[in-house]
Amino acid sequence: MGLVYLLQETAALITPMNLFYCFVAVQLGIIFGMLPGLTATVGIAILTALTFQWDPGNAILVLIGIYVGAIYGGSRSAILLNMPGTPASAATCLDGYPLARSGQAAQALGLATTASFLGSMAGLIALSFLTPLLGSVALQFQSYEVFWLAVFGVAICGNLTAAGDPVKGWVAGLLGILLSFVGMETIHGFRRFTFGVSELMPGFGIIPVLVGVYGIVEILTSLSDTSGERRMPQIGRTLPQVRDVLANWVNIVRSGVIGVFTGIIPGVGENIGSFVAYDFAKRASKHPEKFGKGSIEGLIASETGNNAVVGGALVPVLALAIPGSPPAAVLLAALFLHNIRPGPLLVIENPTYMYTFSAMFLLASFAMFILGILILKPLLKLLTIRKSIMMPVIMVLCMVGTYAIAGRLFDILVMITFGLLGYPMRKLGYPEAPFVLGIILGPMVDENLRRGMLLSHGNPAAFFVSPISIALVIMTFFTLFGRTQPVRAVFRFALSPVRGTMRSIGRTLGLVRRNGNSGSPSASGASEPFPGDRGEDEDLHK
Amino acid sequence: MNEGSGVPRGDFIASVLLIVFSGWTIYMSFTMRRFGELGLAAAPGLSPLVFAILLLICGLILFRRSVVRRGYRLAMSREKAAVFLRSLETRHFAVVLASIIIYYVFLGVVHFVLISAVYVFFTIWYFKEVVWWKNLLISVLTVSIIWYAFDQIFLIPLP
Repeated sequence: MGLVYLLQETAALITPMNLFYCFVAVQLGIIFGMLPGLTATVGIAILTALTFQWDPGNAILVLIGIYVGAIYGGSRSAILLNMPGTPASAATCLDGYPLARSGQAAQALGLATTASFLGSMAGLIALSFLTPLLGSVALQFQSYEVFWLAVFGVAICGNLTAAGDPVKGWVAGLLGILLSFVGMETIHGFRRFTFGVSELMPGFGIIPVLVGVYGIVEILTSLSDTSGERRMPQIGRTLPQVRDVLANWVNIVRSGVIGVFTGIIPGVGENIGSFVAYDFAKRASKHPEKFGKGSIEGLIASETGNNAVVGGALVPVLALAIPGSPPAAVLLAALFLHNIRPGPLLVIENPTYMYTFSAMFLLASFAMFILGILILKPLLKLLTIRKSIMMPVIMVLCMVGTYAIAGRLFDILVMITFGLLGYPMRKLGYPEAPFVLGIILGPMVDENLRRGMLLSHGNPAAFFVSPISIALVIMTFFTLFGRTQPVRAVFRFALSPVRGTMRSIGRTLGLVRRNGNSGSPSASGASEPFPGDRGEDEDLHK
Repeated sequence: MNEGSGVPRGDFIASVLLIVFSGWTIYMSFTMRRFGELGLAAAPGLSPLVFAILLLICGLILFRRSVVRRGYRLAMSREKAAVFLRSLETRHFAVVLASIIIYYVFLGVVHFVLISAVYVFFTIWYFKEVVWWKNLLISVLTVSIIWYAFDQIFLIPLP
């Protein structure tokens, strides 16, 4: 049934005007993606501001086109210049650039285009068929569950975007949440942290914050950067090698699935998805030694992975109103600005919208494939534009976009202020994504926390009663403390009876070594001791 | 848990700022007006209080970690400050930021096309990568295109 809806919506969407908007947007997205410093998030943030007064249908189509195009476009500068146009293409550099240096730039670009398209198709399947499932579960959410969901989203986003130092990710998320409390709150209409400044009453607008944190920080970083610019190699015809694609079908399916599920996790994003897919491809490859030296498998894995994340990241946007990646966070803000309310009520209020949205995504994916194959050489000239010329023009666009939302100069001041806050944050390793997610989800957290307290007559225990709440609390707890020593020790202790039982079964079946004798070579994988068999038990005894 | 990134001095300064900010937010949350019989439990200050306490905990973790890694030794000296201030990166940053602020100040006072073209021209001129007449051409053309597209075609009001 879902497929029928998807086809109906796609057919309804195919009009000359929509196709024109879609192709222009995807092309613009490719340009944004391939220019280092202009990420998909910056592109969507600027275009959200610029398309604010458009018809919602066209505006959302344009923004999806920008998103899909930008994530793909990043691969071009990654392959040709060893400079990822977007963070999502960082893994593409590892094998794309060595391929280009060995004279296979055209082949690498063709494969990247095909892999990106196939990754987008994996994302489309997830978007069309997982969203209704997740949406039906989301209907059971009340204030308590929504509160925990938002907290979990910020926590996991902080954890994953600052993997080396999760505390900084949480700090960024908490700062975002606290700053979202500025202005008039929704339950009592009380003004918080406004200090009598009337412009602060509606709170900080999402667009000025987004453009500031991403756009202004990028402008300041790029123009302060004193490292030199690079030259581009020559390329020939870019046609995908069907043979290479067919030989990698398992790799493509695996990377697509990894990308989709990485995308569904709130706030994680394409850069992590592509690296995870790359890592899995390397582990599964017969030639892992070629990875990093020009492996086609590696290139296909990273490009399939990052584009599959796009579809996956949009699943929680529609079903839960929780973004799966930073660009999806901006897209979520755009949906709200256009009076489309994603989340649990979307299934009731606008049941076919998720198929309309998926149809837009399908159209954008096809546009990306066609443009990626056909229009390449003229666009590569854009890569030679110096950042000292490009960035001031981007600055003018940031000003225009931010001002256009409400026609207030104060919003531009907010944009510059958040840019100044974001600059040291980036320098000190505080990720932007949880900060932005905190700003977006903060009002939801506040409203549901206090509404839940009112409903339970001030009893906080009500937040820990329903099975969904308990599951979310456990997930949040393990996200925050799962890597600490005491929690790991308790976890190991709790799982020791299960491990003992599995070990006994393994010995009975002859799969586990007994008294140090190795098993048969055919069962080499199974003949390894169970994870933590010895070392972990020793830890426990200590 | 991970012991963090390699900027202990930056972490130390950031942690002190976070502790001060969260402490101030906690104080402000307590002083906010309370409605109805539930008191603080449903007051506007509840959410800021809860999340400021969490931020305070994170700030204390960062503080402890940076102290263990001797981040409190800021080792500031005149020579280091002079080197930092004279570095090309600092100079570029200061000029770019100042030009953005001046651009903002004059927005709405001077016509959009004029002030934007001056801003673009100045920034390109500062980095000295294009001859002046090309710079002028780029500045005027790009800003005029932006103005025409948004003000005349999309009917978006510009400052």
